[in-house]
Amino acid sequence: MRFEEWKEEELIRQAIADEISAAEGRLEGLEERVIRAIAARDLECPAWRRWLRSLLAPRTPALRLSYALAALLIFVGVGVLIGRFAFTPEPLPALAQEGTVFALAAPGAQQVELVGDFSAWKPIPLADPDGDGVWTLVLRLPPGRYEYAFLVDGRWLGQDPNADEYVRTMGDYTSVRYIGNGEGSSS
Amino acid sequence: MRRIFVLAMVLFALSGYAQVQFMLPAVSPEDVLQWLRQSALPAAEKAVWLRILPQAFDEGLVDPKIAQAFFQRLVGTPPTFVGEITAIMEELLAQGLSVTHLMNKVSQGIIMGRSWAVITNEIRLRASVLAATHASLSPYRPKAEARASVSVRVGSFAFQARTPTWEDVEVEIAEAISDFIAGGGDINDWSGMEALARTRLLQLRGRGLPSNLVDHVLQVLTPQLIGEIVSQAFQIERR
Repeated sequence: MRFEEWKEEELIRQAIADEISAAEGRLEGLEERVIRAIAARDLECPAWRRWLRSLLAPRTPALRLSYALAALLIFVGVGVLIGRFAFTPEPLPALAQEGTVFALAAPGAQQVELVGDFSAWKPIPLADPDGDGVWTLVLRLPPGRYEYAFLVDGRWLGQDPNADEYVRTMGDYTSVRYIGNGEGSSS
Repeated sequence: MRRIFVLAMVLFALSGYAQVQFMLPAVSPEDVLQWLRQSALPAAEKAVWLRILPQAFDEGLVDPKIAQAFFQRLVGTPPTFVGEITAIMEELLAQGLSVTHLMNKVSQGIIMGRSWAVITNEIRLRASVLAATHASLSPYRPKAEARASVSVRVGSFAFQARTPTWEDVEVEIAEAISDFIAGGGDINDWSGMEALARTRLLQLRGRGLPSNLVDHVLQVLTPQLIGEIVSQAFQIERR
């Protein structure tokens, strides 16, 4: 390093040291001044904003065992309830206390109807009130065996996934449901 | 606010399903006969039906609601089709056999859009099997049988509830055999037919058919008996 360069660097260091020593007086009590300024600004804020800020302010939590246990119990309880009522897939007939649910996923269909021997094969319309493409109908039928099919926009659809069995009649399938509590089978 | 919330929840739950308390509107035998007299069915067949129906209604061999729908569907079909179907059912009724399920089967075939020949063949098959089943099971018919009939009204709908009888058991066995054959099953597979009939009877035990009648017929139901029914129905020599 040349002498001129060393001299120049030394001058810069000296200038920085002078600046710092000149500012020392101003740095004294800076922390207090900042806190006061913040407090003064806080007083100008609306109450709800101060409350929100205090709520969101970082803090060190003080954990109490009793609270933790209560929270755990609530968490588990809510989880069990949600699991029981929201996510357990119930068989469709159980959804309707006394009726039999006929449901068909037919997105895009304009009209879905149910025909069966219980209606002398007269069409009964299904409904899709929420427009999700799942058409439903609940019928209260006396105990027995019933043959039925869906008409999707007039087209025969004889294989209902929820049927108990299928029979083939006149070249096409027809679904079968057994209604009521039988005494001769486990279903 | 709470009331509105509860009401909204109830409405939401209700809108989820279109629930129908389903019963066909009550139709009396006289309603059917009256309708038939004024219908556009071919005169010859109309005369046959008007002659045989009153007794069939009295004996419970025809359900008025199903008959009404059946006749309504027959109007406008070819006269030959009406003639053949009428002849098949007339013969069954003469033997004291129920034709309600066959009327329903005709309605099904029509709504499926099947040809008249296909429907006629199907009805002929089922009629033959029913007659043969009745004949083959008659030696096993219970001597005493409970019979009762009651009219039940639910809202604006009504239906006739009656105790299922031995004839209903016969119909179920005949229909199981017919379903097996119509579905493409081997006519010589008597064990297959017997298994299907047995399963169906067990499914219906206590929910459509009385347990005592089902138990009774299951004791005598064998592949050999099915073979007898099939042979008689199709007039073939037994193996």
